[in-house]
Amino acid sequence: MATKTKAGPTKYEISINGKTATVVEDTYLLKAVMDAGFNVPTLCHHKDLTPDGTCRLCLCEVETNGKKKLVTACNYPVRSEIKVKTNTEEIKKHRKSLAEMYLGRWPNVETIQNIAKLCGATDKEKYKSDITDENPKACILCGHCVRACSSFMIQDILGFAGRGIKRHLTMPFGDVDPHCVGCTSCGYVCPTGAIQITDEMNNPVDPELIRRHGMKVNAEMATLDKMQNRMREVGTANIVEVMDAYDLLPVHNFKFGKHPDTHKIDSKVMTRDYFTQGAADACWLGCSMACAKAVDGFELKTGPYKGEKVVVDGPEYETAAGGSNMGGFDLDFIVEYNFYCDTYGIDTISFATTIAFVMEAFEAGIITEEHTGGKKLNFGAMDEALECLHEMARGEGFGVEVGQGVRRLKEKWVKELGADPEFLNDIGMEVKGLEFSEYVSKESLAQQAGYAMAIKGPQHDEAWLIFIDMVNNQIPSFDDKAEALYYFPLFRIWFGLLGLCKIVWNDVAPADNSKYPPQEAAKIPEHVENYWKFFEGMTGIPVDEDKMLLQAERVFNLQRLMSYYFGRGTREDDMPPLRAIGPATVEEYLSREERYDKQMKEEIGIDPEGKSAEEKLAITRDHRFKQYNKVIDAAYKRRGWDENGVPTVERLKQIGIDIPEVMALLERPDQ
Amino acid sequence: MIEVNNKEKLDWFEGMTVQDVLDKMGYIYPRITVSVNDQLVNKEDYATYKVPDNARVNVFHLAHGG
Amino acid sequence: MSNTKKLKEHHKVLGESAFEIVSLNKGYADRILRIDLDKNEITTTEVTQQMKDLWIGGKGFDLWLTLPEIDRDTKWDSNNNPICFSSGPLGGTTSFPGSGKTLITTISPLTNLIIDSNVGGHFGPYLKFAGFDALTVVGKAKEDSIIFIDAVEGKITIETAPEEQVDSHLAAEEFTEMYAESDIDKKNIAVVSAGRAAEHTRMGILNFSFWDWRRNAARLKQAGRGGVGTVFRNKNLKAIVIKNRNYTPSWRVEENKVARYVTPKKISIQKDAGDINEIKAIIKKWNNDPEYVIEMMQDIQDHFKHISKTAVELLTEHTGTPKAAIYHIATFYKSFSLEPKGETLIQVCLGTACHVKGAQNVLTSFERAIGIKDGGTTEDRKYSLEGVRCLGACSIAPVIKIGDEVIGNVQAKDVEKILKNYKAESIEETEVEQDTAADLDRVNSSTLEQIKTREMENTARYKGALMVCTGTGCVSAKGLNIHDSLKKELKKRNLESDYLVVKTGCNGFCAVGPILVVQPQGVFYQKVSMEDIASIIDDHLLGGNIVEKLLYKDPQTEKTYTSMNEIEFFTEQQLIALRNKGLIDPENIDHYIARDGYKALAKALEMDSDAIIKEVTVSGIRGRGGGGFPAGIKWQSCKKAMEEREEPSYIVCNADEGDPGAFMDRSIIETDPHSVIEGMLIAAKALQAKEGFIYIRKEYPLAMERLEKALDQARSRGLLGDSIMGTNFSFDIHIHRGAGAFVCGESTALMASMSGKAGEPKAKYIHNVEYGYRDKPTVLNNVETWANIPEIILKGAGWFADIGTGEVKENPWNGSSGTKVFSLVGDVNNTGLVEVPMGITLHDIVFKVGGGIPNGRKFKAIQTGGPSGGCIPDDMLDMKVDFDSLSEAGSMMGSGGMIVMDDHTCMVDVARYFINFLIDESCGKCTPCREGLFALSKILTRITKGEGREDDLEQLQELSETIEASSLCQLGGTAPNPVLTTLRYFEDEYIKHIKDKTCPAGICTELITYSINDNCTGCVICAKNCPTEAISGEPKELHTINQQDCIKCGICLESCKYNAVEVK
Repeated sequence: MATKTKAGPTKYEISINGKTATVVEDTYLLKAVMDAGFNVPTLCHHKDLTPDGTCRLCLCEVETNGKKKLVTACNYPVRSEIKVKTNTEEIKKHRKSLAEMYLGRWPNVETIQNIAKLCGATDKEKYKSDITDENPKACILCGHCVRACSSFMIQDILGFAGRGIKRHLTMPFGDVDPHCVGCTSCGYVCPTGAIQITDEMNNPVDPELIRRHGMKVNAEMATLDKMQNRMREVGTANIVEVMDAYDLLPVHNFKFGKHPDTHKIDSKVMTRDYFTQGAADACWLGCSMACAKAVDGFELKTGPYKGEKVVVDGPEYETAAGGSNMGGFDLDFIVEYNFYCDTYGIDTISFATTIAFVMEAFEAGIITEEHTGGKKLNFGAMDEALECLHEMARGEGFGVEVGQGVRRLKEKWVKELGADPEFLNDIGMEVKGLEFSEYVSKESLAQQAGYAMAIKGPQHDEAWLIFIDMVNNQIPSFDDKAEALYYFPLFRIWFGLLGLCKIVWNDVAPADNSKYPPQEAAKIPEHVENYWKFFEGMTGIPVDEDKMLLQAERVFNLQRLMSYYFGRGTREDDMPPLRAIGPATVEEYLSREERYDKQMKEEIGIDPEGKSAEEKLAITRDHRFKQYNKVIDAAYKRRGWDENGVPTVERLKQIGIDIPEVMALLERPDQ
Repeated sequence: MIEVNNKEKLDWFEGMTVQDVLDKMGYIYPRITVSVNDQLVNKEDYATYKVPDNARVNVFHLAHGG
Repeated sequence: MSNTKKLKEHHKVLGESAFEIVSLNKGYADRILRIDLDKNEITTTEVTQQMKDLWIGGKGFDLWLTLPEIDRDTKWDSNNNPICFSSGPLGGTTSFPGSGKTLITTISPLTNLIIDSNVGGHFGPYLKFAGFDALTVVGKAKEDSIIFIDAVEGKITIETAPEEQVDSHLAAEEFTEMYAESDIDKKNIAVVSAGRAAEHTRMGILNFSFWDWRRNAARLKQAGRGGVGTVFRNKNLKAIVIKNRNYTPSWRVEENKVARYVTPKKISIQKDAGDINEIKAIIKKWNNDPEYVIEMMQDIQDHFKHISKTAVELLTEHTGTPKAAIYHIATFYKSFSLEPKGETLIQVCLGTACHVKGAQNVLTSFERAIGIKDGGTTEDRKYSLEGVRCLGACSIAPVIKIGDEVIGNVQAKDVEKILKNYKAESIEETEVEQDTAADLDRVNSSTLEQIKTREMENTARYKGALMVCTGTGCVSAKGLNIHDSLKKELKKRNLESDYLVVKTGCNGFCAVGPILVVQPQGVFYQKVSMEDIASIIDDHLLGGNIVEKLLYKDPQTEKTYTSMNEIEFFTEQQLIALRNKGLIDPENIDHYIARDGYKALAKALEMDSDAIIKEVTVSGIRGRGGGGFPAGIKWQSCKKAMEEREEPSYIVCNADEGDPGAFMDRSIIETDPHSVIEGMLIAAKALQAKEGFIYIRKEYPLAMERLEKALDQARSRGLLGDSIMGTNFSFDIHIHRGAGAFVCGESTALMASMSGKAGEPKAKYIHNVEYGYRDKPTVLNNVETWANIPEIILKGAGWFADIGTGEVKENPWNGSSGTKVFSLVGDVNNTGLVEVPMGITLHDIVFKVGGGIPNGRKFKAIQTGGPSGGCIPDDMLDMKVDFDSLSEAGSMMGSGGMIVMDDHTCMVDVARYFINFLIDESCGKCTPCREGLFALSKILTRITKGEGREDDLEQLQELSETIEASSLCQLGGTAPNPVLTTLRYFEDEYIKHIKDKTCPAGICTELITYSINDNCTGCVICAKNCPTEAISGEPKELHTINQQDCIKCGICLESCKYNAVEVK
């Protein structure tokens, strides 16, 4: 598919009250006017909401080709070189008149009084009538709440009723809709205090503080998500094509990082043909990210529910990337295996990674149809993969063996089939017995460690450092990487102590996040602060970075010690398979030969010239394991663990968990 | 010759823009910030902002992942 | 009993414990729940401060709670391997996004280490709301079991669950259904489950459900990693179910004073299952398509006479349209009522033509006669009464509609009779004719000619044709009965093979209906009654003698005319849009084809897109809907937008003719529906559109019926649908019925309405041709414009451009080409529908075509352009009628309503009338239109009451200017026109009201008195008719009016034959 050449946005030189400004096409005039330093009165405008253009106070004169007209600046998109005047006599006259109308109807509302003052309207009596409302907290029909309900929450729980002069704000029939989730956005954006609502289930110390920071994120979701990760549109699957472009999408059991068929399963196809759009897809009430996408009315093609139309939750990124990992570049397949994994109770990640491993073993001849029950399990064998899934549910056949996971298959095949253990260990994508989640970590040392050192097993939710390390090259030294491997796991664990979702932290970022230096920006400082305030607003206890890290570090070490207690959780448990840290086969080496050769020359200092692929692979392997060991050495040190990866007593004291229950975990009979 | 993220080298050509650099590098992730010789470049200027020869371009990708 | 209740009967309670419901404090419940499945033991413990300090919650609590349960030998499948669930202190917050995770830990079957997993869904927060910061489950059940935590009753049970499904998508729904009290309660249930495969593998997950009430399905979120589901099934757990206390936020909005006018006093709930099923069936009939929600509501309103709360909820549930949006629609459109309406709806038209002819008195009379106010319903729910804004039968004003029957020329004194007659007779059934649509053959360009020839041969077999007008005007005057009995009578005399009886659409000369034209001679019979039928057949058809008494007599010259072509009403006209009026049966597509119908389409199918657009552009045709935007330029922009964005385009026909005093569009559709369809087809060909829509007023049932028939016939003829005329061009047209909102004539509001929303306009800074219907490039033109298109293509752009004013071939903005259809109504003799060339003077329209002012009264003003148009005075009658001249005069073309007003019209009252009309029709979205019009009305009202103030005129001017300059859409932008033009041309009349407290025209009731003068003969008719018995006097003696009782209804004036009633 030919990619369209990206033309940059068109810009226009416009004149505002004689001052020249350069404005990107389709910028709303109000923004341009404000940016140019002029002030225009508004009532219905809200920076985080789509303009509605109903109060009409922001009237400006726009001149195009000699023709003048009045427009509302808030929703007028700049699409030509215009001359703008914001404060002509005519405009002033109309603004005053509009303000008088407002004043006549709602004379005691402070917002109105301020606007009236600004527009030179003073006569409260002029348009006084039988519908004049003396209530200082009256609703002035600005519609902020309606738009917030709709664009913050995709809920549309409240709205206007009646028309003309009878227009008013309400929930249907004047009752509180039982589906109102209590997100409090409406009350937050209301300029007059006409709406009262609180989220009180948790009885927080300071609900206002929580709301103030929560709403910032809601506003970002409403305004920025569509330009950032499009979580509302595609959920977490937004990055399938991104991962492909960065050579990070697992393909064929993590051999490769991209595939020419990725466009068949990318987010464009998902949004166009699969996901229902514009739905309030939040997995918990009040979540504006609404990333729990679903495929509605999906007709199943296999299994016991064949022919039925079902709602499928997802596919999320991991599931879609699991598809590519198995060579299944077909969204129908991905949605189908997604559905059956869910309803049968199977982890899509472990399933896909194990099947991908089985497929590679099948192609390598380690197992044959004889072992698989007649299934030709080559890469891309989607029907066969689904059949394994159905076997898992029936509790029979090869599928049940697959369901024991990569580690047990390796053991079984070595023991029963005499397979080469080294090869299987190199390509079997598991650490500690858990299958890898779906990112290629080969080119990021920090991510390799983030995966393999994760206490529970290789899963990205403890650290996701690929961009920071490999792409941004922000943590070049081992100490830098160790620091990242200290901060991010702890920060991410912190969410798990509080019942929070991490996606809201980092899949949308404030528009001005780039004002921070890159290392800081990666943490999204404003969001981190939001969470501190959230914690404070709930518990009354202020937190800062040190305190937050301390809270997390205690739990982090507790979990590590529990592994130790079971006789595990040491260095050998943190060792990844070769494929996770570099090319594991000649085929793989050759697929990126130029890059690996270059690295050999520049980083290892060995001239690849004249060496066979096998030799080069061996050199690379050796080098990469050395590098890896260096990284975990540094990380252990930063974490206050000994070189075997065991938390030291000193550290436990430092962080205040040297209590008997914890210290008991350190006593191992074999030590 | 320009340097991207203190690592990758790209051949420079007359009229090279930030967008050209992003296209060359295959950087399609939406949440990035770009600086050229430590000067931040606005998103809407990517297609017009000229990258001088020998520039240091930093394309910073925000993290992701739940 | 429902299926799930049966399943539940097989549960056996193994363990049970009550617990106290505690409220949360700073995010903590300070209590932990532990369930031991070995011992069926349910215990709670307190959370210590140390726990909170060191481990915070969530995973921290889980791990800490795991410690005392395990030992070094604990494996994943050991009885003492705990599964721990915890939310965390911030969990369950709704004012901060992403706060609903549950953290789970257990020893993993894959790693034999602690695995932790985080998951969404509602379980975690609900567990905390139930009063537990964490839950530990240890032990193994002996058989498939569930744990049920009931936070409503404060009870936890361990129960066997032998028969429920294991697969999660079914289990989640079954358990939700089982434990929810009602549909709405389902949102309070959360289910944790694992599927069948979790039993046989090590990678089992837990599914955490949440009820998606919009999809009516349980959604599942997965605690995926490490085999938690495997451990769960190993414990023989089928599910953990939690039932949350219902929580509705304490939301409150300050009361708005106007809300009580909208909020129903009694909320109606449908309890009858049959009714509910019927509502569901209606929704299903429209394929649950949210774009058709307004259609569904119209069907519901028609059937149940209101929209109940149940209906609102069902519509939300089955179409996914937000309830607030449905409620907005239900309170926005006039057609809908939240409280039940009466069996028979009486609508009194208050359109402009009716208003100037005394409709208000008719309405008042009905109010008195049935004892309810406008908008009310009688106690016995027999009648509902409402004043409506134009029924589109202005030529027979004043008009009312009772049930399905339209009655014209109603006077206040007729009301009792109408009610009596309506009770007595039901509507006569008209003969149902077989619809031949199904047998029609598909056509291509060559068969068009064959059909034409066949039709002409067919006609030639008859000696003559009797063309009976069945436009709305004539139908209300029993035109259909004339048609039916003509047929009956001819049959009786065995003449049915000699004379063809044709139902034609509106002839246009509605003033004199019912109309019958005898062809081929073109003898024009007017005001034909049932009694005349015999003599028409016997004298005229058989005897060859024309029936003199039915001929038209010019009211000015008293001259009698035989042929239609000689009557001045017709001679000044030039027919393009109405080319087939009176000549064809609109319900027969072959009649249209015989008049060269669809020939233009055949031609267009051979032209390329640019050629078609060029033809339309060069013709200079400007939109007939009011704005006068050149159609060709519009099409061109649409093409550009669709090509640039590679998007499909849509073709839309605006038939939402809302202007009071206008009925052009209705008549065109009733007369010649195919001309509109053909026009749209030509545009579709030019713009590669696949779908078109016609948005038509619900108040036009006859037009709708004919349109539907025409669409069906066109489909069977292969003129709509796939491969039109055998080419690869495909296009179809769907109908949307408007639900009573004038503002929906505005294009963006129309498209909002077509999308199933309240008809609120939006800013047009980006045009519909770029982002219109469904945000795709859209061409919207009105009925008349579409009807012109085929003729332009067939006869050429030059032919069209030469008609009318200006040199438009180079630039359509340079003039107004072609003709324009006007509805000429009000105080004029020849009311009806006329089509005249652009550039004709107003004088010619009023005095030549219109035949002057009746009853010897004086012309005062002509109002053009609908409610947002202006009133043009006497001294400007020589003005040429075209787009630009009318605008200059402060009025506008609008869709073509022309209301003639005689000297018995008060211009202040007219201005007030229009402003009140618009207050009612304003959507209320933007401030100037909503608040400004209200303020205008207040001022105008006080002036008509004699309470005007010195500076009122200044205020009127000032308000008008701001409303005009600052309104969001054209409804508001032009709304002050009636005020501005009357101020401009009739200022002295305002001043008389304000300063002298008089109404020179004798209209403003507060400023006038009725009295009886010496002409009175004592005939007693006025006294009889007076509704308040304010007139007294002996027979044959002078009567007097008791001013205290007089309500100034004007009935006495209306009924006096001796010019004895005076108004001062």
